[in-house]
Amino acid sequence: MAFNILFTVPDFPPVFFAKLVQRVGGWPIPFFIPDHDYDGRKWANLDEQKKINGFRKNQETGSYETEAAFVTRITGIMRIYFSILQIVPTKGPLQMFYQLPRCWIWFARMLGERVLLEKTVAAQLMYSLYLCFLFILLFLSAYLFSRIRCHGSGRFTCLGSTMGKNAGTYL
Amino acid sequence: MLALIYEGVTVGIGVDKYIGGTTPEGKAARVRVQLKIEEIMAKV
Repeated sequence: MAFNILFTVPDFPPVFFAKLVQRVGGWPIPFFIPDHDYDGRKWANLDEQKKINGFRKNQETGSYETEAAFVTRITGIMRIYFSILQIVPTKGPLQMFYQLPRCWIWFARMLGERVLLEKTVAAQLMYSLYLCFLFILLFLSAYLFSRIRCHGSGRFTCLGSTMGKNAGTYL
Repeated sequence: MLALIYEGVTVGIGVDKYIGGTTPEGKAARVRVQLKIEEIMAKV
């Protein structure tokens, strides 16, 4: 459903991505959030810092969710994003945030950020993306197989025309 | 890239530093990643 809305509703893709970042912190990019805002302003307090990092606060008890609950929630939300990346669009590409190469970009950025890698969520998110990896491997193998077949048939066609030309000369 | 991740979950990314950190959830997820990479490589 999210994929269809991304296709049909204009301006929805950036808004959807912004909401993802709001809910889970910097993990969709992925990006390690520093101790200050983009304009250099320090976070006012721990509440603001936790909120920016995607932690949810229980309004009744005033306590933050546990690490296990946080990981489960982040993984659930990110699985939707990864599922969107896996769908092959039929009517042209989606916005760049939702294209398949984002899988590689996501992994490349993740592997470049040592601080992110040491977080609990990192390993769980990599695990949840394994389906995407399998999909990519299957896609690549199918693509290479089709290329080999085309290349092979092309050579045979070329060889056939040469033979035909030579045959015409000789005849 | 798979090799890098595999090294990160088995050998580590520093002294006593692994992908997923030291929490129980992180360790569990790390083993899942390792098993999944081994499964992917077995299929290729």
